[in-house]
Amino acid sequence: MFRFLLLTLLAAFAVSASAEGDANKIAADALHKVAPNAKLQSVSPAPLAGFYSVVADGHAIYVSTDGKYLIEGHVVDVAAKRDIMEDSLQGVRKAAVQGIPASNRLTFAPPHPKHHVTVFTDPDCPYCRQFHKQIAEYNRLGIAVDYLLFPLPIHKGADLKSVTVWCSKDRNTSFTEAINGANLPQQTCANPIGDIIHIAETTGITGTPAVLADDGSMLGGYVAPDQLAKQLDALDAAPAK
Amino acid sequence: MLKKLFALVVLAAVTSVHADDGEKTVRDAMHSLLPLAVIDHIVKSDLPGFYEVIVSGQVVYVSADGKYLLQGNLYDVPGKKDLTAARLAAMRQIAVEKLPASKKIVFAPEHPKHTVTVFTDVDCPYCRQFHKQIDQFNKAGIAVNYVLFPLDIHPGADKKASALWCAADRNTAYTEAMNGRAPAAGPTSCANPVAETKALAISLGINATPTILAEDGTTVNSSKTVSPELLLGELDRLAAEHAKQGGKVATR
Repeated sequence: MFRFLLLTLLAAFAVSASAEGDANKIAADALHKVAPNAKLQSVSPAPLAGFYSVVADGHAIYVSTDGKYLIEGHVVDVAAKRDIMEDSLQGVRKAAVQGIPASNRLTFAPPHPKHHVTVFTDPDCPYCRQFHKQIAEYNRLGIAVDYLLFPLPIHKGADLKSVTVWCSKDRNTSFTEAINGANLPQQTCANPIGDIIHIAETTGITGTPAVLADDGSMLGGYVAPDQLAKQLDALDAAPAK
Repeated sequence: MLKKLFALVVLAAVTSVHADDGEKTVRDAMHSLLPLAVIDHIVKSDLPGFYEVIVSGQVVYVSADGKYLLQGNLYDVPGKKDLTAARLAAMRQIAVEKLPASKKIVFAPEHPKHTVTVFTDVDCPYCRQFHKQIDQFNKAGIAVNYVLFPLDIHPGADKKASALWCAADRNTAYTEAMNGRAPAAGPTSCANPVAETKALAISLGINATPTILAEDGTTVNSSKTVSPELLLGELDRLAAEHAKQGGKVATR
């Protein structure tokens, strides 16, 4: 009896493993037919029946389960009036955010945080500045903020400013000064900024600020403190995905 | 016999009611997202379970149950074909062919090998750059049909467009305008197609100038329009590709 049960379990496991293998193969074959050099990152069933939700090169796409059709762009849930294509990126974003060690972040946290967000930020981005001007308020609302320095190529010199912040003795103070426009004497040292840029590129993060929850969901660009607290409360209240 | 015919008629009616239901569902879905959308066209898509909708010169896909809208590019994977781009090109090809030569400004060699349609604006720097080489394009066997599309971001461009249209020698006036000169003395207004061609461009989803369309309605990548050699090569390539697909345009 026990043996029978074990066999059944094994068989079930094998079936699910092979279904997953098939999905990966179908998605990879379809993707590479259209974009031979694209790097496949993840494959999962899409909310839209008959499709796989696929992430490749930091972009979300859908591939039909028969491998015949590929869609890039937006998938709008008509009733919710929301683009659900982006949701596909949540998985890779969660893994990426969790994979970044605390030593590669700039942390502004209250003593007993209730919530935690990861924010991709650029010292020369106006909305990043607006966000940071209110850092005390985010903290007061129980939100710990982990910044990742992500200088955008469109901001000339933002990369050097970011490196300078990272290499200074008191990173948090330097960050606050730099984002408020101070011209700090340039410093260089080993830094995680290249890694962070790579993570952003492979998770579809193209602008700053980008505010992510621990489950990888994108909470927005600039979000005001009380609004962010509300969104985080709602996420906590929602059943875990 | 009569009974059988009647049954067929009823069946046909039922089927068509069903088809209409699908279209109505799709139409309702579109209007719930975009209340003012003007839908040009709804047909069953190649993608099973979806309708293809053309709205304001854009191609989107709506699931038959009206729950999802896909916007972007749909690829036929085995055929390695961007179905959305192909549909858009086909739509533009038909519209551009329908527009009579009398509403275009034509610069053509005697025996053109290719013809491009260029949506152009008097005040657009890249349109000017393109026109600087008009003789060389013609010499390379490329006929250029300009369609006036003054952009709203260029105040006064619409007036300049109608003024050059109304000049005695339209082609010369166009060249003058491209060099920043107003047309020589003459009427500055007359019956002209500028409003019509502008509306046409917008209805085709064209939102920039110059937009350069090949014979098959494909938008030529701007990097391929900087010299006669590059443009000729690209037009040859597109024509060959088109011929390979049996010259078949995805029209319905």
